[in-house]
Amino acid sequence: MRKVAAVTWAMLLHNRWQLLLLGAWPWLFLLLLQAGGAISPEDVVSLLHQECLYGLAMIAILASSAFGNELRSRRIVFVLSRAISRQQYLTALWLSAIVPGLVYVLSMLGAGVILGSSARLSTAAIVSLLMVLLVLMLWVGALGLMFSILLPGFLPWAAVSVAAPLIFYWSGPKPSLGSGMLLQSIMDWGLAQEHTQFPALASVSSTLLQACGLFLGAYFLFRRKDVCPSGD
Amino acid sequence: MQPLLEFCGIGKSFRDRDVLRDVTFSIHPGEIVGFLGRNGSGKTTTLSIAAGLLCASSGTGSLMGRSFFDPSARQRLGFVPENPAFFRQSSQAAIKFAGQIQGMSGHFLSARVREALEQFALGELPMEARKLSRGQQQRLALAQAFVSDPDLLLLDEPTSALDPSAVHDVRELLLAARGAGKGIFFSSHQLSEVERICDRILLLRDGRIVRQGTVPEMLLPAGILVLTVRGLPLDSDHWRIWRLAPQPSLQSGEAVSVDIPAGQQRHWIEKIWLAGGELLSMGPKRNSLESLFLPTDKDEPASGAPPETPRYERPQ
Repeated sequence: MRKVAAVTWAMLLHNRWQLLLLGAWPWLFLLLLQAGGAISPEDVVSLLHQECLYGLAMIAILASSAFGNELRSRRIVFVLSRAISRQQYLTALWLSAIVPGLVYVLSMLGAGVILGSSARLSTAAIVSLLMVLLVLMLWVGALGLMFSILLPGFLPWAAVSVAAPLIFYWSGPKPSLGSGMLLQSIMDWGLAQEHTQFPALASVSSTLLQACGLFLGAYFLFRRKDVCPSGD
Repeated sequence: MQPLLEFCGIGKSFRDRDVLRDVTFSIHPGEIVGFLGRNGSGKTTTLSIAAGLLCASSGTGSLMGRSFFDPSARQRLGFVPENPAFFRQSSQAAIKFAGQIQGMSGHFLSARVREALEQFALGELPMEARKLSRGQQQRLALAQAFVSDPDLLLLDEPTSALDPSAVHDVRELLLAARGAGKGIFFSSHQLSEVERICDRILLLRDGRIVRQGTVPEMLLPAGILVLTVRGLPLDSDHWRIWRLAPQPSLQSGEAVSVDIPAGQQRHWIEKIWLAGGELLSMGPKRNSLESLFLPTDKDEPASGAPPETPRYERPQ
């Protein structure tokens, strides 16, 4: 675990500006909104919806480019030639995409609570929204990582941007497939009391299980994959 | 004694292209083995398989007696790639990071980091590792490899960007490491360095090991002697003698050198004396490592054994 933490930390520090930008993003939105004067509750809900989608897109980009970036920079050669297993390395890659998501969610929580108070939205409702977002981020992160192992260049991002909406659309009416239901619950989240509840545990559990399955799929592809930086 | 690194008939193909074919060798504790071959001959591929970065297409092998993909085997390995790459870290943090992912921690790691910084003259470099010069980066990569005191060092052209003084320091370090019982396997194009410090040499050509052996074995082709003679210049009436020599003769000033097969020296010495020549010296012929680089028809794939002794026609 210590080795995974060391590699993750090195990757996060390497992309520290990305991390700072994601942390600052919700606060910048808050400042812009507040500079515009009075905010209607509908605007706040719409803004939170948008920020959730931005967050998911960010994680998809980070995860789908993670492996390719390390390969292009050749840092992967340094790390994998040390006493670190492929599973540990993959976990570090996944965490390096998820931790910025966590920072984003925490930042959204702070900004959301301030915005929510002006729209008479309870903190519990915002927390439930962000918990759903976090679960979806874990799922999108695993999907992006799997594609980044499987496909070269910009193709992983293209594949995620096609596959994720398709899966959401297809699994939407099926609670057992989870991820579509969760995205739907984010989009339905609003001012009405019944829409601010945390979604069914079955959807959350099945989404987390899918994320584990995708991660295992990525590991299966990666465990004997040639690590061959361009030019060698 | 169990080898630190062993390749048994390993091959590697990328799509339809064979990059390595039937590569067999082993590295033992307390020896420095040089790995020679032209660009694209497969040296980096071989080292990458040993470091668990590439998966062999055929054959078997082991690192510290375990699979190449076993991370616990790499705990005792120090690897320096040809083009080292770093995270956005200072030199000190980069060495510490290398130690951490080798499982080191605490005061021991801090002490080793300080030692490595001093050993590789990196203590006064405050800037980010990625912004260092190529030579400084190579020193840093060596420091990262040495920090965990590994049993086996795999070095891919470790001195290619170093100045002569740094090359000297690295040579001393490698010799000290060999003295401490460590195995060192390194590829290099600096033939004088290879000749100076290596116990054994592997020569790779087009993905095959074409020669391997100790440095004397590689540099002394079996059964060839060089005679140096005075008094029988090539352009004199005696040139006919040299025309019968099995190898082309070479004149340098008054002296003429000729290669002859071992066992025929008596025949040739008598001939030279009868013709009035003076034998200045006689000794085994030394190859140069440079000549091993050049492809010849004699280079046959060999696993372990040096190629057959060249045949000569007996002089008339």
